[in-house]
Amino acid sequence: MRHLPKHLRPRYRYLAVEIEAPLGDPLEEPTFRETVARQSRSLLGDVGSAATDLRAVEIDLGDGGGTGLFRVRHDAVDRGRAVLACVSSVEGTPVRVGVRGVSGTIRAAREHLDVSLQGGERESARFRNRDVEVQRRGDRIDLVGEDVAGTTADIE
Amino acid sequence: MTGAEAVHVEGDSATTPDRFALTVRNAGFDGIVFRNDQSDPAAIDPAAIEARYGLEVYSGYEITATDRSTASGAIGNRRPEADVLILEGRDPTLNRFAVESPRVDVLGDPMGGDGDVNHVIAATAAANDVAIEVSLARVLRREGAARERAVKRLIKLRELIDDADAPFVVSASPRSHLEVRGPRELIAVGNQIGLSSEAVRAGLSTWLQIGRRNRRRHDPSWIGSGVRRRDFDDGSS
Repeated sequence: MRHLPKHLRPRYRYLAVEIEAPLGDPLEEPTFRETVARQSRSLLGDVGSAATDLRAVEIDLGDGGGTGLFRVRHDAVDRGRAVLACVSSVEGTPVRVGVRGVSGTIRAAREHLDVSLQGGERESARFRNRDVEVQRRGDRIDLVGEDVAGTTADIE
Repeated sequence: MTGAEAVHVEGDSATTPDRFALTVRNAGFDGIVFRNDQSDPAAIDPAAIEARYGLEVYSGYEITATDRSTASGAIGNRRPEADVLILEGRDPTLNRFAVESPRVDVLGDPMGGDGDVNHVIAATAAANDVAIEVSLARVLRREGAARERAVKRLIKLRELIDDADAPFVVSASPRSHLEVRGPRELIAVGNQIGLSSEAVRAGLSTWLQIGRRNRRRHDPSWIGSGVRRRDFDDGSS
């Protein structure tokens, strides 16, 4: 089909999000996308979901989380935000999706994504008076093999 | 945005108080209230966290009790040290008890479990200045029928709070750092279920007002509402 004239093309906003998940259980992109789509229909209903048209443009997932760019109709930013806030787990793995910024272009939205939640370095540490192995990402530390999250202030 | 999130912590929390503070700060809040488990509290150093993250930090306690007398004992024990004292609701009797106790700051999640609220409870909360928590937990983290039920209950709760002009707080009630959502996200979710942006903002900032009020009361120079002891330099000494 031919391109629509400019004034008839839908206008979009781009939501830059950080995705945080436990280490050791990497999220799969297809299931993450499915979860977002299901939450959109569940929270907003079929009609609201269509009018919001929330769609993942880019997703970069690794161990511990990653980043994403979502496109949403320009008049439905608030609804898009609400849907993303309701993405609380992906196939049983808890996740946190946080909107870091909203922009009119993909390039500008990328500027909001300066956080890296993936990977990190492993080191030994003392935590709550015992020896543990932690994975460190900036100030965040996660205990390897345990479901415990802290910061560098929690270890000795 | 001046608002705080109130997070659950306990002795061996999977998320340490410090990690909560880091996440809450990055999410866009400027304060944090720790709802420390009354029976198994986590060690928290509010001053250190305040210094590290630039947040207003309030050390609170959440009392989970099944009957009035246990709740009453816990209130007496924790009131002197709590910046924010929360009594978790969970059934109509405890909800009633919480709002009838002016020493309680917040009736936590009154619609959770078998909880329910009526016009009498809302009016009593208003009279005793006990804030009612509007918990978005189940809207954020449940789906389908369970979420529908949660939304229905919150609509009812909002109508009762409006009618009685009762104080209220809003929270995502996170039990781990992954359950933290930013203030704009909570506003967006609130809008979807009929809470105005102003109401959500007010609910988030009420946490701070409660914390500040109790800090003033803990100050040794505080005597009564509007009365403080001050040293005057009259030149005689």
